[in-house]
Amino acid sequence: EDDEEEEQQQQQQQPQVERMGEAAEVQARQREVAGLLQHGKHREAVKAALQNPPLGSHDQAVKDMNTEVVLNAICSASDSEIDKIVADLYHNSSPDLCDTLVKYIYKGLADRKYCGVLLKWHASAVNMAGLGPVVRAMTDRKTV
Amino acid sequence: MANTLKPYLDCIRTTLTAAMCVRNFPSQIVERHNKPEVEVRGNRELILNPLTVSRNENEMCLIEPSINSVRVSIRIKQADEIEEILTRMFSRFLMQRAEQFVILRRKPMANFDLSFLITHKHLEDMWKHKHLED
Repeated sequence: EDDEEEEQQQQQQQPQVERMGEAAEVQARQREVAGLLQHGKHREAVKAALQNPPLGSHDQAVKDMNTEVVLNAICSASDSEIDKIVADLYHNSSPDLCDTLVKYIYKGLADRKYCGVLLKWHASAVNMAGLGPVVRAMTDRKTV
Repeated sequence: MANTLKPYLDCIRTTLTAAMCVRNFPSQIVERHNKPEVEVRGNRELILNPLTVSRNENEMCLIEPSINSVRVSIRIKQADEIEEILTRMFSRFLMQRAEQFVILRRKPMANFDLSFLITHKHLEDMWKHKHLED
């Protein structure tokens, strides 16, 4: 019986550990992206920000933090670079990153921040990747 | 100001194109009934994530897709009270004649000025790109 109780306690602690792990991951990503932006490496910053989003996380604060990180990276890029970065994401990195990018674009538009910049990114992303990411943003149960 | 209008409309156009993939889906709860799932909201499986496209703080367009219907709600920019009154009068005028418009909804959603409900029946009768042009 003691063993069972211990197992249950361990199972209860595991979600907490996962949540702490996610928050720590997001903070690490924040530092990485801030560092890259300081050096002016916008392409790498956007790519780093879009890795491993906390999809399906139960913690809203973690998701909000990650959204901030991504939007920071996206909005610091200048207009002329947008097309190049999106092309790079689509052709060289995995198309998953494009999906994540579009999901974050919609999240930012819903919060009504940085609308002008995000609309430009949206046009560029849809030009590159087509309507696929838009449909996946609509259908994916695990929202950003 | 005028700079953001075209990207805003383009974004709405592409999002709507992606959202208007609806098909006939009879109600799972009541036999022989066919209800727009986005209005009924009975089953979470049948409703997709809503997407917002906004141009600035005041103008946005909420698109709520589902398996057999799409609800599009628009909020128009209102700079001052007069514009607010004008918008309300205009939208009331349109909504009272909603039957003529077919896809207009008689009441807008909360916080929005105008709402459209597009079901699969409308898409069977009308062309998708014509819907989008408006």
